[in-house]
Amino acid sequence: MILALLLVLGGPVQHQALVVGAGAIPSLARALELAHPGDTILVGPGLYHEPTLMVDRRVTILGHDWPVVDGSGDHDLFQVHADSVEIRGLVIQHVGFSTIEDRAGIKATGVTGCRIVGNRLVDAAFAIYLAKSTNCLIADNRIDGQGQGEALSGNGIHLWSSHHITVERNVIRGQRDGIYLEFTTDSRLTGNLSTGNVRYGLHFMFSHDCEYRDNRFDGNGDGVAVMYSHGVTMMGNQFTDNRGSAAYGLLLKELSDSRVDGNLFAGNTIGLFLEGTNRIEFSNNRFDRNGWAVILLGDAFANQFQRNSFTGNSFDVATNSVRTQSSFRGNYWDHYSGYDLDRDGIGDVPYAPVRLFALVVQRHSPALLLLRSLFVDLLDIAERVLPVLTPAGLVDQAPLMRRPS
Amino acid sequence: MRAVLHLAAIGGLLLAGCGAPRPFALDLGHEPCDHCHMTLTDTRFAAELVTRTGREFRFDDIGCLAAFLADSGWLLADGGAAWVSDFQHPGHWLRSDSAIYLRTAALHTPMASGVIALAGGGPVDSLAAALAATRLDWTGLPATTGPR
Repeated sequence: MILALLLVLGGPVQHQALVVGAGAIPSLARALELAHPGDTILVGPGLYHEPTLMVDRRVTILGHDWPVVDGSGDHDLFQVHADSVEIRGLVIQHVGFSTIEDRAGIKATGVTGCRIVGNRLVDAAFAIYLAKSTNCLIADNRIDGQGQGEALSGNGIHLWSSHHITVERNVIRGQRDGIYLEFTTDSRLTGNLSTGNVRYGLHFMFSHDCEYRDNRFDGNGDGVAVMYSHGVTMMGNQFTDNRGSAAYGLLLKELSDSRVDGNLFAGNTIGLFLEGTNRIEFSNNRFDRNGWAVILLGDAFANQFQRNSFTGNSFDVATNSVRTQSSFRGNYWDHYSGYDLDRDGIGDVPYAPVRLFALVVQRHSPALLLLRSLFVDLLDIAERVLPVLTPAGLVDQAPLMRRPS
Repeated sequence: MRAVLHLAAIGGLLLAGCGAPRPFALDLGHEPCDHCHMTLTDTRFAAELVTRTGREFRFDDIGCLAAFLADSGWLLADGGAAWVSDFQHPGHWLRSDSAIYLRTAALHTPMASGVIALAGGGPVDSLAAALAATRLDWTGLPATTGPR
């Protein structure tokens, strides 16, 4: 098989193909020394204990039948320093955590056009790590970290000071953050599954003008945190079953001018948590079976909620301030008990989604014990009849009678 | 006799509850930072504060403690105390006002303050040189409100 590939690759082009494996070049380290720019290194099946592998010329490294490249735990494995390097089809394992340096299975620094596709990374502190790199593709990798119990681990896919990076269809579990972006812009993350990570499924810090779409974040410490950023588009994602005393589906902090559209928030302690977020459009999202669907802190302003549906949540909206500056219009609320005499599909009386008790719980969390008590029901009814404490601004003037499809 | 022992035990507990604030152990992977809300996963850059009445606050980045104190510094004047993790012995707590602080771009702290704390007397200068770090005073720590 390898020979056949060798012939195909060796035929029409000038670049040579080097074969690593039994009866050929014994190690990847040696092959990388021998390779010329443009060459292909074919790695046959086997277990290769390798030192740090310096990829300093443009090569394509292709694994055949899942060769295992093992770092023995105490150093980076691949360090990519050349443009347009491709790494595909390898099992990369055993890169230990260090308190002084960020060690990774594949680390690319200052390069453009790298392609890291279809690898399996097992037990690596950081799995794939890009620093100051651009126009790279990270796709179809499977990353299994050191597991939930291990607090000292790195991130699955770590993007630092990079731009125009595409991250697609990766499966990441058991890392600190599944995917982490810091000072990274103009990047797209699509169709990834991030699950069982210690901190966040996906985490943005100071990372602007990015888009993530159709990803699934399930059962992480928290789902996704987007912090200190602007211009982030979040569409069609699923934030599910992130549970714990303060576990969020999506945490937005110090974020502005962004869009959250068509996502599912289900089974989280808190579906969506907003603090210091301005001018964000929330539309067509589904909030289902969360403890709190939305917690909106008073310093969030000019956010708009339209055509979202709220079903089966213990609390729909909670806030800590009576002067909150965001608007709700045309959403579906399953707790709404109004009527629609003119049958235009819009309730004739407004709906106030903030329960007085939710306000109480925000200030004194132990009061949550009283959630199902008669006292609390009376409190809520009294407040609904004569609102004095719940925020006047947080009212849906046009609640939908049916759930938007 | 047994009643006396019980009373003594209860008295002991009460006394323990009333003493000067003491540092506490972090529950990594579960508790959020009281400034930035991120879950604490790494003791190396962590800080904590206990008020006079025993209320605990934890921070994933020393810059988050600084930001918290910008609003709530009175908690210290009121008899509270703050600690920072010794970078060289994570989980060993140093009094915030007597630790030595370095700021470096070589280490990625959770909120990008780049601040670490060290005990005096150790290899501070060599570590500072290795990390290309600058030295900071406790009163001059950068608060984490945005990027450097």
